[in-house]
Amino acid sequence: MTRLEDELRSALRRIDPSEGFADGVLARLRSQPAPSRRARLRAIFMAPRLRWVWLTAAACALLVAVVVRHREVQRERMQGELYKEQVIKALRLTSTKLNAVRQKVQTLDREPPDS
Amino acid sequence: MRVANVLGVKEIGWAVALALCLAPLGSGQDAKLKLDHLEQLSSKAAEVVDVTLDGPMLQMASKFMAEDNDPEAAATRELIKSLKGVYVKSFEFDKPGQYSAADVEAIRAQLKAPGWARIVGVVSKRESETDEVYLMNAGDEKNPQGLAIIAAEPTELTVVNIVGPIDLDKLSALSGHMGIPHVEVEKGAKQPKAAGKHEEKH
Repeated sequence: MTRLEDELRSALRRIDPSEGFADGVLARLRSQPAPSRRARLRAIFMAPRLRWVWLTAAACALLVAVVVRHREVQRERMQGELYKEQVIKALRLTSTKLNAVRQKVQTLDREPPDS
Repeated sequence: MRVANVLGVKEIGWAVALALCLAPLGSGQDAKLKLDHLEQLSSKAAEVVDVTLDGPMLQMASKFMAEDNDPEAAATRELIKSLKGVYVKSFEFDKPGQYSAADVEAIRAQLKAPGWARIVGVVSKRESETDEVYLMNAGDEKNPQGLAIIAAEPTELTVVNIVGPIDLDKLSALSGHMGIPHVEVEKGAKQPKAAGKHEEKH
């Protein structure tokens, strides 16, 4: 057996803890304040394994919001164009009718009173 | 004796508040006509034009006209920006007798309300046609707050109702713009001149 082996065996030999070590550890744990609910939740949700899940979910939510807003803008634009067409149609009709009335009045003006 | 001594300041305060609340109702003399009863004619008509645009819709239309960067659109925008509503119902029928006199009379009855004044009425018995133009002056003859047109022919009925300050000069300025035909508006010619026997003057 070599000297190195002896040294290793000596270094890695089992040593029993001193008396009262376990009680000391437990007492120290009890003396520390319990983590808050928020801290516990944060520890659960920000676990490295879950971090990617949350990032993906946030990206998806953002994408959905962008798509919804885009559709909303498109719908608003279509409505606006429709209203614009309706306004022009209404003004065109109003104008046509006013012209027709004006022409009738002018025709009547030119007619002799007893005709 | 001072009024305040009789009524008390508190009562006067309430009266002023009530008057302020009711003022819009009185001065508003709403130029909007009820045209719902005409909707039943849609099923009989060969062609229907039904435009119902209230304030927010007109604002939206105005906003989209602003995006056009077109001077013609700008003129139309200028006209509609202060309007509160544009309502048009026009029906073209294949044969006469599809609408009743009561349909038209229901509109005329509303135009007998205070504020409305018929500026032109042309009745052609020969052609069985009636054209009437009304303006709501609401105390200010130079700035009409509403326009109504009834054009009744044997196979066509058109009712136009524009609510809000309508500038006839601006309407005239739209002539030829965006497909809107020419309208000649004579300033101060709201009272028609003497005319033939078929013309009613108001």
